[in-house]
Amino acid sequence: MSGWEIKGLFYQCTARTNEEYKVELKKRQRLMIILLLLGVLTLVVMAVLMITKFDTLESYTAGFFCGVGTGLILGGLLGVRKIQKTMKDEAALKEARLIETDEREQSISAKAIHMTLKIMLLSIYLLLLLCSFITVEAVTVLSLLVAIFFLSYIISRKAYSQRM
Amino acid sequence: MQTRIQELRKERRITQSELADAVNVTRQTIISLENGKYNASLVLAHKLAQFFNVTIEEIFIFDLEEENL
Repeated sequence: MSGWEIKGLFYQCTARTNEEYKVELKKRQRLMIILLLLGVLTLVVMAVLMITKFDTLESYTAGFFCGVGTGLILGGLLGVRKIQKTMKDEAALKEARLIETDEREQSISAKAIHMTLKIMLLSIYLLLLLCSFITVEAVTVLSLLVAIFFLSYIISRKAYSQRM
Repeated sequence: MQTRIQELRKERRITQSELADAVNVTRQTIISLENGKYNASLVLAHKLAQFFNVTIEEIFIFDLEEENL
């Protein structure tokens, strides 16, 4: 799976020239640095918790925080490195821009996201049924997720319908 | 939608990659357009028409029955 296939989930690039694409990549680079800093913050919080609440802290929680923090740092570092490498090579920059701005690729991503959402909602519905036999807390969390999904959809739709 | 892109391209002895470069899309998009698997946006249709120096109607064959009109 190429990087673009996953990037299509998060970005919809409209850059028409390499210069415009560089501006877009610089924005993404800032986002990667924020992810990296979030990773550092997660590890710092974990370190503080380990020092202050060593007796009561669950090993699972400690492992989870460490994993998430390290993942964010590595993801951020790799992202920054990849963006910098692309920005230095004009041919690679053009190729990446063409793939990202290609209307067919964007159409494929939009269709894939639509299908994924349907599968996600069906999965949440099945999980809700299953969890209702096991734990009330999980049912509450899943119901909240569904509510956030529909609320985000209604708000985004209203915002976009005013723009177009 | 059926198109005359392949025919026009071959007339002018242009490769799919060259055409893709000229209209700022990937080669795969040109392949899909030629096979009638993907319908171009209005902007891309204009770019193609400008590139071949023909009208949009001369490139894209609009089938009224296929479009339920």
